[in-house]
Amino acid sequence: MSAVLAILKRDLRLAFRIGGSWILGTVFMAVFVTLCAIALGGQMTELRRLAPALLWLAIVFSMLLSFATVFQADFRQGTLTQIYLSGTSTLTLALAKWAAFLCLGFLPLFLITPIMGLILGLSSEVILATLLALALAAPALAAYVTLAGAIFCARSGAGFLAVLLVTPFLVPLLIFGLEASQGFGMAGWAAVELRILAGLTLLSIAVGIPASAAALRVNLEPS
Amino acid sequence: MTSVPDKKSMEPFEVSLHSISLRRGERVLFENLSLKLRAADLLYVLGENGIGKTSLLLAMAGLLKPHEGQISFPDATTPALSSSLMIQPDGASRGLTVLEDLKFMSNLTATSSDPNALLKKVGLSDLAQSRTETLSLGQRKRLSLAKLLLGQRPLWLLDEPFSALDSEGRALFAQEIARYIGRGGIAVIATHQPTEIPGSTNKILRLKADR
Repeated sequence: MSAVLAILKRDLRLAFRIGGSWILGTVFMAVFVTLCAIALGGQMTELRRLAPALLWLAIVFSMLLSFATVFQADFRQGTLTQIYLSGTSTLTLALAKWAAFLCLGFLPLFLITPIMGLILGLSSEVILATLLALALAAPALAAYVTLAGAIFCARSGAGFLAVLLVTPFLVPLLIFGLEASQGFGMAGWAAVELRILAGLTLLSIAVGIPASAAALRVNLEPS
Repeated sequence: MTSVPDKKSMEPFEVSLHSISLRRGERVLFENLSLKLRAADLLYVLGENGIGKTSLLLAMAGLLKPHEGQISFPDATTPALSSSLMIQPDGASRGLTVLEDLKFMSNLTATSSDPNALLKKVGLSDLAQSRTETLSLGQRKRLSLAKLLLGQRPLWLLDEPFSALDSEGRALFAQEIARYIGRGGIAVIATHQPTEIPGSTNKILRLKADR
């Protein structure tokens, strides 16, 4: 546990000092939403109808884009090797990096989502429902991004492979994420889609983090 | 410097290599290498570029699986729990200060050593608040030495520890390695220029290409 905290603290400190995924992600999201608004002709009725889906896409793409920030720099500068040789298990390492990515790759996007929602003309109820569904799905999204980062940490320029690999896992999250925010709007906490989304998230964590640990092991101990 | 434990001797420790062969891709580096290292052994690994010196260190650290043969550690320990590896890239985190970087490693290994005292020992006190990326190669080596001293592991695997160091730095490294061997540590040093380590008998392993 102390190793998880040490790695998390280090990653947060580095992110505030030298930037990284959180700046890339927030800028990408703001640009994406702006371009969508322009491409759709700026008609509020159209935008309002599409806005929840656009916000989801913006967040999923921003998180996917920053997969390389999870492990690649640390792999290249030898820090992953030293962390591994310090006796820290790859599972601990994957867990810490996942938590750091939730803070750095998701939280800033989550915080600017209400502003983006207002720009797209959403009502406060819809924004609230979208935020709730996003918060439920975020650990799963982060787990898959961590997995992509772990698999491709030793290969630069593998971005398209990472996107191809992770996309199938993101589809159910996207479908049920949007359903969950609509369901919450109609049925409140009783919405069954919320429970399905929560289940998907737990499943994704249970699969994604051990798989990331295994991928790290393979990359650190090539046979 | 009372909190740097350096007088205490270590538990007896040994590592054996049983007829190992190493490959990098399809290329055979060497075959059928057996050796046994006991407490207080110092082994120099010599040989031309690309012969597999660094690969041997990686294999002993558990980071490269031998193609054949095996490397055995005492029961209930693994390379990741008993060895320290000094290699390029050295793993110093770009963006952290020297002191923060050392503290990070000390938090991971949960040692009782005082990072400030260690920095003083390796001559980096003045640079404690500098970012690691501003260090010269020799200063990075000194930071790596501080991490070795922090870990207190029974096996040190050092890749070219003396290159890029000034004469004072070389003397410091030689002195710390000698002290470590004296306490019962095992050091494996891959290098092109063996340096005299006071008070130790050196074993030499010369890797040669058969072709």
